[in-house]
Amino acid sequence: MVSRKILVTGSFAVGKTSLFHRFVYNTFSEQYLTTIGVKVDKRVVDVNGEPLSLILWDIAGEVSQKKVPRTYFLGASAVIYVFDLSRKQTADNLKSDLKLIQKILPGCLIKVVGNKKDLISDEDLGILERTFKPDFLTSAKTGENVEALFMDIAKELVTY
Amino acid sequence: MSQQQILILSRQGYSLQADGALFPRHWLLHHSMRDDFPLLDSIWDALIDLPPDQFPVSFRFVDSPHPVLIGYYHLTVHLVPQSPFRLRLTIERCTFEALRLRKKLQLENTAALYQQQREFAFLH
Repeated sequence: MVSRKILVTGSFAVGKTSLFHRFVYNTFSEQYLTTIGVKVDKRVVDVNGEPLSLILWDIAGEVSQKKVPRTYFLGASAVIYVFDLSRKQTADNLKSDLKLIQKILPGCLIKVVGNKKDLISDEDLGILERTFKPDFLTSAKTGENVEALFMDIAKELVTY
Repeated sequence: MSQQQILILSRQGYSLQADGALFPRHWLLHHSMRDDFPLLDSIWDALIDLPPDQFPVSFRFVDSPHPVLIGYYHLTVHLVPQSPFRLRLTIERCTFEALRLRKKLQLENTAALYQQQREFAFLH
C-alpha cells in the first residue's frame, strides 16, 4: 500500500492534536494537554478506489518553525500548518514559517489551516480569512472541514 | 531493568544484534523495529537515502502507540562504520523525564494561552 507522511505543525495550543484525534479516531476533548516530542499514527483512506495510508506526525507546538527539529521534516510529503483563529498571535510568524518550510522541503505540499472556527464570529472570520488566506478553516471540536482537509491532501498526494 | 537498547538493524529494519534489556530478548530476533515504531517506518526510505554526513538522526520524546511499549522514548539512528548496509538504533526510555517536561510546559503554555486570549479580547 502506498503511504505518505504528513507533518502537523504550528504554535502551541492551536489544535494540532485535536485535528489529529478528530481525523484518526473521530474524538475530541475540551481539555488542553500539551504535546511533547512527537506522536505518529495513521489512517488509511480511499482515493479513487485505491487505499492510501496517511501517516500523521503530531509534534510539539513551537511559536516559530525555527525551533522545530529539522529531522521532523524528513520524508514528509505534506505539511499542515495550523494556527488558532481565536488567537491572532499564532499566525504572527506565518510568512516566515512557510518560507522556512519551503526551504527545508522544496516542492512539498503545504496547507495553511485556521482552526477553532467554532469560536469566531462570521465577521471576524471574514477579516482573518482576508488577512491570512488559509487553505482551510476547520473546527476540530465540531469536526467541520477536518475530513475535507485530509481528503484534499490525500487526493493531491496520489498524484504527487 | 535497563532503560536503553542498542540494536543493529538491516536495511529492511530487522534487528540483527541487540544489546540492553529494554525489550524481551525473544522479541528482538528477526523482529522489525519498523513495526514497533511507526515513526521509523514512515521515514525509513528517506533514512536509507540520507547522506552519511547527516547522521546521527535523533528524535526526542517519541510517544509510542505500541500496546506493550507504552511510554516515551528517545530514538537515535547512526550509520554503522564500514558497514553501509547496517544502521545502529539506540532506544532510550524517557517516560518519567517526558512527564516532568509535559507538566512544566503545560503550566507555561496554559499561562501563555490565557494571556493571548485576553490580549485578543482586549483588541476587540
